[in-house]
Amino acid sequence: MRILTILACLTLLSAPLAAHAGEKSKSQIQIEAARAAIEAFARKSDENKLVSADLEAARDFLRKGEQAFSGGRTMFGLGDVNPEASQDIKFDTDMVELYLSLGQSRIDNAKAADELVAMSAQVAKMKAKVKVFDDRKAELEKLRASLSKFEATVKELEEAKAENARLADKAGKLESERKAADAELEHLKAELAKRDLAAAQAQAPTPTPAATAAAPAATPPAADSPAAPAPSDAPPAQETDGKP
Amino acid sequence: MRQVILGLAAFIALSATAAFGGEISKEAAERIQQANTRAEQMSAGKVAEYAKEYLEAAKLSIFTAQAAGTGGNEKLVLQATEMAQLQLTVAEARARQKEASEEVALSRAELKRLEGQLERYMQPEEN
Repeated sequence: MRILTILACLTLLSAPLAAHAGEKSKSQIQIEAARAAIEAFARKSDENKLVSADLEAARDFLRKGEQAFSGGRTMFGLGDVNPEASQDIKFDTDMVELYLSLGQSRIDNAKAADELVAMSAQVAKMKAKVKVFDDRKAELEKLRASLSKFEATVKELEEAKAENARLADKAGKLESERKAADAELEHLKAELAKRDLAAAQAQAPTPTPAATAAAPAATPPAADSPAAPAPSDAPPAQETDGKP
Repeated sequence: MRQVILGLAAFIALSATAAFGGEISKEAAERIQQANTRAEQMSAGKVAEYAKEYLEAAKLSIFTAQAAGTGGNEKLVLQATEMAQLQLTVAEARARQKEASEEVALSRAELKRLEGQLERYMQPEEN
């Protein structure tokens, strides 16, 4: 009976220990997670010099966490560490995480900076190309404006030429008309002179045979001679010229 | 009765202060002040916009340090201020990274616009 009691007590005592034996404590999990994160980051960063200091700091804090874990373990190494060690481990593993985050930020920032440099170069190159086209476009616009002005001037010139031709034609016609009028006037003048002469001859007194006999040697008086004035109803000699 | 309760509360508060409210070193107090000043400066800048979560975490760490300082827990003060400083450094780095990423995005958009413009120029003009 006594042996059975002792066995029962030992079973009851060892049961929780056995249950905890297969489990990892919270602090241990934190440390292992931090270690795994450092290893993963070291692989990913491929010993990048930019983050070597951050990686080293993270490793230092991991070491401190491991030391705190070793120093803070409870009796027989079972169960979690004491509260103070647990707080230290939490702090150390949080610092590990922050240093890795800082390192990642540095890598991303460097990548972004490189990309920005490359992108800026591309933008500058492209701007130069576009500027060539912009300049050509501006030049083309200027030429188009000049062409438009030139066309308007040509049109005006054509119109002026047409007007000139029309006026020249009109002037020719007027000249012809003037010449015709002059000819008509000359003709009318000649006609009038003839008529005047005819009229003058018709109105002049016919010499009588007696008069002719009285002065046979005398020259017949001229029509415009003062010695033989024209009849009073005859027009003056000067008017016979048709002049006003 | 009310006076007795108030007296008891005051006694308990004084006892608690006497029990936990030890003095922290001048260096620890300065660290809290430095972290607080840095956080305030960063709150007024672009970090507040680009890395708000890290800035908030740093402020929480500073608050923890202040509370630990009131309680006289120097070790916790040093840990919390160290963490706050690192969180602020991470916040700065994140902000720089996000700013650079935004600039890259803007440059990319500008490049795309210029490429489109160039493509339009290269196409035969429709009359």
